[in-house]
Amino acid sequence: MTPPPIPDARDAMAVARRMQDFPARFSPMLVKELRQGMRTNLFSVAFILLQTVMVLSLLAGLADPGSAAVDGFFWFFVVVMLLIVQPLRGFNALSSEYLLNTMDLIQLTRLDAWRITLGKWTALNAQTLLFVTGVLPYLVMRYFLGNVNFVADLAGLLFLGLGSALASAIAIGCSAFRHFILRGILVIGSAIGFTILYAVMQSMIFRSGLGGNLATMGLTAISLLYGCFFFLSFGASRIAPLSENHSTRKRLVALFFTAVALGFLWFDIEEAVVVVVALILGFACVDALTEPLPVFAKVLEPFRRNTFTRVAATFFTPGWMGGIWFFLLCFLAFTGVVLVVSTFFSSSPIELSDRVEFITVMISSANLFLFPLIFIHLFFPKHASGSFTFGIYTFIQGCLLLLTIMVAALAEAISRFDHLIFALVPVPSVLLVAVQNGGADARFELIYLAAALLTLLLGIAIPLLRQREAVHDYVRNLKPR
Amino acid sequence: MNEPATESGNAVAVEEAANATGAAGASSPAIEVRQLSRWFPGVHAVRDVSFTVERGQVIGFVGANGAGKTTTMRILATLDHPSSGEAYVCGYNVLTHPAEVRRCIGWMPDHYGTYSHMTVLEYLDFFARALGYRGDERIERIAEVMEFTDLTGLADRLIDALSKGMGQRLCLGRALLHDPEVLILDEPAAGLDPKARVELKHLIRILAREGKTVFISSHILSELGEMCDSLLFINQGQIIHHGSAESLRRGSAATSVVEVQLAGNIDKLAEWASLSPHVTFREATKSGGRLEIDSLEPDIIASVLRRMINDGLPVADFHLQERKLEDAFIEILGEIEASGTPIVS
Repeated sequence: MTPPPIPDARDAMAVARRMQDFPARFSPMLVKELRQGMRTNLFSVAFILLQTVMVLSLLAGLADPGSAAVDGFFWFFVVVMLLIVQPLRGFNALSSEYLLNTMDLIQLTRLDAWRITLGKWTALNAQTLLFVTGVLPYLVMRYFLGNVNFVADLAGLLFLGLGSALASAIAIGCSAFRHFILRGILVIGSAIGFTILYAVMQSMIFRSGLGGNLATMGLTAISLLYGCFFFLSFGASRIAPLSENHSTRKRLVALFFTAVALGFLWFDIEEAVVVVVALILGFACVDALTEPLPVFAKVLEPFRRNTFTRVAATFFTPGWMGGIWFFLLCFLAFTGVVLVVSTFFSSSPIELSDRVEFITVMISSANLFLFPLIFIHLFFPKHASGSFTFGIYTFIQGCLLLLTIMVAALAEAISRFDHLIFALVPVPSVLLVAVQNGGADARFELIYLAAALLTLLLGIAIPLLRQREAVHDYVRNLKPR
Repeated sequence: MNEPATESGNAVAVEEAANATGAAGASSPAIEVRQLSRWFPGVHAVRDVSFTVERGQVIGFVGANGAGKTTTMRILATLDHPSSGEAYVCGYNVLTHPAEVRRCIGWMPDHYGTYSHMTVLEYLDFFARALGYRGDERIERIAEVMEFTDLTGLADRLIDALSKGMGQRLCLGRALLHDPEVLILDEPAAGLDPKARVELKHLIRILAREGKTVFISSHILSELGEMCDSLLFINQGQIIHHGSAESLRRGSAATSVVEVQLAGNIDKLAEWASLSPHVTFREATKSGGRLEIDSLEPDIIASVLRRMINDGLPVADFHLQERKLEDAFIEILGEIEASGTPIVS
């Protein structure tokens, strides 16, 4: 047999032909990231380390079958690889494109921001899949060694894979921010937040009696799926040129997932459904409220077509202004969901005497989202529509959380003057604590309600008044030509 | 992340004006800029800039750091938007038809972007895929570009291991992948060694011969002078000169200065000049002197040389003395400082 001819290095066509290792239908970003990612030292070292640990745990299992320590050792490394090491590789995914001065070059091609972000995420997950595939033979061998529930292990690995997909989406989405500290805070905050939320959700699921494992798993899968979409589109819209509209799709998808989640009300897991709906709408609203206003009238062009699109424009056009109306829409929808769940699905419907408290709580919850906007538009008007808006918003929310914890602790320590203390710090989160503390006292109910309503009004009015020039342009551009 | 929308009003107005005008066509200039301005908070980067670049021209864009070159070029490349005014590339407005503009431009930034852990071939393949090339067409484009930029031999080399010159060739190759009509090159020669500069200049000359429009910025005026059909000087966001390198070298004078070197007695030169019409002896040099001729016409200058030889002067060297472009640039800046108004020819 004659060996195939070695292509002449000088023959450009022969050299270029070598670039057919990945099919043409693969996303260019996916191909690029796979080629780069699998060549990094981190990937190789992590893969070899995982294989070594798997072999060691298998040998340890042989020596001591059914040992909990060996089992823990096995899963600890799988968890670290899938939930920490792999997602953290996406920490610089988008910001590095700015650092390397390549983002401009990519944006001049046919790749839009969504395809860039999705490609990076898919590539990272493809590499995670390699890790998972690498672990599978050891799962089978553990099963043959005995004392291992193979199906439970497989389900655990699957959920770890899904968790890894979400964690990667968080890391890649947040990597759109070029500031290392902000990026770090967001990733760590999201990780902690999601762990707490899932703990809360799980306890709720169990409390509601597990209306069926399949429904619970379905709802979890839906929230994971939306989480991935949200963080990827969040990152995409942050790197997108202002001529691209990602907001409409983001908001419509949030409403779609809300509707799908509501379908699970028929499986007796209503509390979990409410939590998931709150999460979906909450994330979508924070994003919408911190978006820059569109500069390009071209983005608004599709909304000028007819009366229906102009009405839709109120809620779905990019920018914080459309974001405020979208937020109000979501707020009303969520209030409706809570009322429907309470009336038709819950064993303890809201009583007439609770209604004022209920309205106060709902409005104060809405104010939690709007309140930072008052600060931003009053004190940082120059940053009200820029890339810093989200950072400032997050910072203010963090400060408010800290303030609320301090006020609540103080009020508890000096319980005689708790209403006075609450009145001195008129922020929505403190108001929520105050309602909880003084809900039974009818004298304060109406005051709290009035304060909540006033805050809501200010939360909407101040941004619109402070940015009236931008608002004027925005409204003018939506008028039919 | 792109610019904040704090000046959305202006940008929207600009976009509306852009929608109302402008039509693409083969007869339209390669680049047309009308009263373009761009301001950032506290900085007026580009002020009321207007110029036209015809198809097939090579234009040098000259200015000090922070003069507004990169901002103007980024607007032309659809990577930034004007605060007021309009910009067209191949007849398409950069604001309303960014996708069309992107298809007809090749952009090479001052800090070229490349990736680590990636070979030259993979880099070109990524951009060819991202530009929408599929199958054999993609392979052909990559091969053509590698051949043109002489990168075939480096195809498997990691980008990290390339020299600056090789990197610039790769970057030029990337910009050429979709065979753009207009090339916008921002400081392509910055940081290159003399050999790499010559190579790059050679490639740009070939591109110009192929009929591409090249809009190139550089600090090295002498290089631009050799390559460009005309030069655009920008200072503090304003165009201060637009004209050929030749006219710039000549300046506003109506006379020519020639430097003459004689093989023998140099005193003869002054004596000869005093007897010749249209010629004035300006100053003596080590082996000859400088003569001023009352004309810019090449025929008259040639006739002066002929007469010198006919009159028996041992002429060893005779050449037209031109101003250096750098001197011309400084002179223009000085004139502006004195008069306070830009000189656009």
